[in-house]
Amino acid sequence: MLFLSVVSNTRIFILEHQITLNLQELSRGRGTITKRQLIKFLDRFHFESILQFVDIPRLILAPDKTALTAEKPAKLSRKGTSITSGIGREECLEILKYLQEKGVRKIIELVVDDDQDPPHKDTIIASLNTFDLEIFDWKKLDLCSDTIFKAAPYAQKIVLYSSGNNAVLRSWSAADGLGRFTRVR
Amino acid sequence: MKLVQKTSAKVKNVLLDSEEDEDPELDTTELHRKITRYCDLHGKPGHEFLDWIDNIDRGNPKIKQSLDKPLDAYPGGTLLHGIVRGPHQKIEQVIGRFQRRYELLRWLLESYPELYAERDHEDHTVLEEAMLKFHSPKLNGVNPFVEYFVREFPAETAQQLNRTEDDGNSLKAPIFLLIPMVCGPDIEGNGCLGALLPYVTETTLRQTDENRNTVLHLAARYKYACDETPDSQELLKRQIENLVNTHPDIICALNKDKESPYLHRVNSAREYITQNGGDLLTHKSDVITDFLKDRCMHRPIEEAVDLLYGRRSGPGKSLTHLSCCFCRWFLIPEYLF
Repeated sequence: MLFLSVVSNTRIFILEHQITLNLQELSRGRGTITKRQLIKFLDRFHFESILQFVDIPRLILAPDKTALTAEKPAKLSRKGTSITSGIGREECLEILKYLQEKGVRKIIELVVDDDQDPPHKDTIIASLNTFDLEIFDWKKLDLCSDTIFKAAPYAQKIVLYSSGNNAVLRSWSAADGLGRFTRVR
Repeated sequence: MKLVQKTSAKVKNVLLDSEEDEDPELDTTELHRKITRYCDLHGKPGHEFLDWIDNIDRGNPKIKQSLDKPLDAYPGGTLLHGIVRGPHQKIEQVIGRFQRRYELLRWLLESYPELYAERDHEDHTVLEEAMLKFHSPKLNGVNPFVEYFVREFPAETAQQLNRTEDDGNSLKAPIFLLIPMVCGPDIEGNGCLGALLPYVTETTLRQTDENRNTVLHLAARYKYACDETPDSQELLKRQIENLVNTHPDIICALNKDKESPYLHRVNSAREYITQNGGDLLTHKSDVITDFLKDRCMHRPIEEAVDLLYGRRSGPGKSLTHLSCCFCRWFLIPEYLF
């Protein structure tokens, strides 16, 4: 009974406003959802125009009505042709586009799990510039500083992931690399 | 040297209307009255006057001692109080007279900084005197007396504001001095707040009025500090930004209705629009609301929720807190399928 009451209260709140969006739980369990299911899930929330924290895990968005069972993500993404056109994923774009349509215009901390093949395309990451991002934590190895700059030119904190590639490290440390982020503290 | 003494004597004679060169038992009350009269007539005191004061000061320590003694001419106050008060006249005349005395004030405060904290028989410092005695609806925003003290002596003025009641000699209501600096109609060109803020403590900015509103609450209140046109909102936002950047924790101050400055703005806007027959649905957010919301969002999540939506039922826990705890385990599967 207590449990029901709590859930009931929670529902009431969720129809008000959310200041964070943590989708980590979606990556557990079935592991794969359709776009329709994702939208249905997000539709339950009303978001503030500024979100404190958005955490997007590695999601496998399957085409509608063909929800796939949990298999190896790389293999699945090759099958899900509507989601992964060409090389690179685009799921994150779906979520962030949705947030934009819901009126979100600033995300203080964005964390995206993108450390498995295939990662998101750089063009997809660069298209994030419609949001004002303060902390940019995109877990993709050797992300180009130019892409980061396009995505979050006013970032105050950037988390980088390196494979140790010397060329990338040099490009990061170049004058037109990370030096362009004047607001980084 | 001889020339200087001659000049000093000449000026002294002008001031005192006296033929005597040396008078160890100077009537200080009369002296002060004449000093201020001199300034009223001649504007700022020239070098001659200051030389004369310096010579008198060196030659007769009693003059210096007398300067911070209560004067009969200005009952229960120092010369500083006397300069600010003067005879009761129209506010424009009072301001004019005060402006002519700027140089004398500067000299006095630089020579005798302790005068700034001295109180008169009504227990007012000269700053309180300036703040309270010349409160007039004709004065837009910060009155020129306070503005003078803040511009010329920001550190000393802030020191007056920062003193708590326990320290003694505190300014009675610092918030009433701060309000016009933040919320006054002349916020555009007024740099008083900027001059004062580096010296003001967080405790001072957390001072409240009778409804426990801080100066930030009042600045954030809808239609209180600006007419809510985009331009005035932008100006006011800069003032608010100044306040919050100086002491970020003031964003967490709650008034008697447990409203944060952000919530106070949202609620007061809602109240205003409802009372004036406006449509809440078409009311758009503005730069001030957005700025305050952004600052709330930078607090830890539980605190941010309290600041944005107010404290809800339960022992310090809102529904938001409950949702944070439970939604990840129970609701997600339900919504998905």
